[in-house]
Amino acid sequence: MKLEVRGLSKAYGPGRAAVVSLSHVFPEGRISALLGPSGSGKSTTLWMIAGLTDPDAGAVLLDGRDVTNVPAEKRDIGMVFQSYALFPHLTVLQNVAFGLRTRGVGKAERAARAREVLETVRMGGFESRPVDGLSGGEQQRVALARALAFRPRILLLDEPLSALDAKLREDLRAELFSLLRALALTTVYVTHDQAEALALGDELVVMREGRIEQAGRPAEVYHRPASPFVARFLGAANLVAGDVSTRGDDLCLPFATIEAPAGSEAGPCWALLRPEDLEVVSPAEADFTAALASAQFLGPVQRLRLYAGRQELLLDAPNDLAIGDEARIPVRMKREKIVLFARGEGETPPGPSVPPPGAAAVSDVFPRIVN
Amino acid sequence: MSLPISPRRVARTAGIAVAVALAVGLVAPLVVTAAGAFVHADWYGQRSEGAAAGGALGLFRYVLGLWSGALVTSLRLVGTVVPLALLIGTPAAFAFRRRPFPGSGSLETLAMTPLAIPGIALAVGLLLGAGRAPRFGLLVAGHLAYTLPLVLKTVSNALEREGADLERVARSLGAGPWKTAAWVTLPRLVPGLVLSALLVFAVSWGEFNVSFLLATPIVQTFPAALYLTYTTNSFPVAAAATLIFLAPIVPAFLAIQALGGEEFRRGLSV
Repeated sequence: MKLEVRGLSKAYGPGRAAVVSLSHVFPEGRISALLGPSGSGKSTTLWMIAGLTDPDAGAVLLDGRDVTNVPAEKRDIGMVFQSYALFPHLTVLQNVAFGLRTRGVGKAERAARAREVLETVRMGGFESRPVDGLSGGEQQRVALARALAFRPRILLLDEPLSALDAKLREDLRAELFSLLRALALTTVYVTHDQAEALALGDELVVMREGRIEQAGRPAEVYHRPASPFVARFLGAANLVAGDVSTRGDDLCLPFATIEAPAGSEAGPCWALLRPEDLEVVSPAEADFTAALASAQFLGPVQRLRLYAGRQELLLDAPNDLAIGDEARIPVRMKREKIVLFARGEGETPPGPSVPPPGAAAVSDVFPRIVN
Repeated sequence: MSLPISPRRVARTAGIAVAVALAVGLVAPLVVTAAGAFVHADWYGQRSEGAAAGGALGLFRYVLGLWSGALVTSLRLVGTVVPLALLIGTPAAFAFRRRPFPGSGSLETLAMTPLAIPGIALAVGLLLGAGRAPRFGLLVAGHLAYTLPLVLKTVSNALEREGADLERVARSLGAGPWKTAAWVTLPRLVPGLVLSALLVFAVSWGEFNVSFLLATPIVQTFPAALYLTYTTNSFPVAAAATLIFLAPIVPAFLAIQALGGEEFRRGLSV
């Protein structure tokens, strides 16, 4: 089933726009992750697709048919809520069978079908349990089974893992993702967790202030962000204020001048250097040297906080690299990974900044090293 | 550091003292009344008007005979007011909470105002406005004015606590407004509705002001009769009437206590 939204808008009162003229075609049979900070309009978009919120303008199309005025109960769209919203007065089986009951499916058949779906989410044996005795992970699976049991045309998930604690979330994520993939349903998955969105989506849609900032394959959006906002929202990012020379061939950064990427426009720019795109090298290969402020062992990598002059830089080094007492670390930039964005004169680095884990605490403890 | 007398302990002791004082204050008159009906009846014996030989039992039989008309009126009245208040109040509370419309806030406030209007004013208003209507109808109207706010408030609170997510999920699963109400909202509201019914019952059963002013020699509620008893009959008769008045209220409250179990709070499955 193809899902399309056209010019969808919603404001919760004057000056409180939630979604602004949003248009997008969600690929058929694929999972689209709708990612954005809270208040970016992603949940409102989902609710308008489901028919639970009336748009001020625009249309929702299912297979080309305008369903904007079709009530939610007639859209055949399955939805998993952030709170799960399981019916507390019904058993697990009755919850899952609810969507079949509303469609007039006979008692025996709906029980059989609900059982089948419970098996696929590995909740067989829980049929006659009341739902309030279930753990968070179990509730999440029952909510998913309930949304799938009536064989919806579209599946919508509103932050389905955010109510769980971190460890459980990681475990359930892989399981949920492989299940969603196997279903091959047109799925829209709302999340504010970038790791979830990157891992899950066939398509990643980044939202900001009610608009789509960028949409594309996750790797593409990560490596080629369309704006500093996307760059900072997805993963850790060093955004360095630089200048491209008048002829467009040199990139002047505060700590080094290198060859500009092909096709760069002359003028002030932001250079995006991801921590993994900086490497510690021998002094001969270095583009510049930097002072080491702190090193954080994260497991797969160790994250170095460096100061190249006044510029703070994060660098992900291999976890087995021995960092000695050297005062200066020689650093090389992976040139092909550098992405440039236009920069207005005197502009501060664009937000929102997602600080790397522990970064704030580290900078509080370590004095700024300025040479 | 630990103070010899911690503020928390003082607060707790004071709290317990107040609770005990309140309980004693509430129960003591009942004890006196019960004693009046059972003990004094024997003292009065033959001398008590009507309450002939049978002691306490005879006394109760006498009171029931004396006020059977009022008792029936009161029973009919609560039998009418309780269902009506729920039937009007529940959809109204649902509309105010789930489907607010322009002006619904003011309307909700307006619906609460009878609680602040003296019964005498309400009764006079009803008599002036619809004095020719059947008296029983006026009583129903007067009682509804006092009990509807209770239903509105209780059901509103229950709906607010519950949130609208369950109803939204029901819609996404294909349940239209009626199925959602019947299969999700109402079963979840059962505790709130039972509580409302109990409150309406208690208020309507005990309502005096409006009932007294609207009473006629024929249509008279039991609390109005109770007043007449206290002013004209002997104390044992009045005490027995009071106990009869209290009889249905105590079991109702005990029932709600017993119903407060897990199953009940979760809502009844249908």
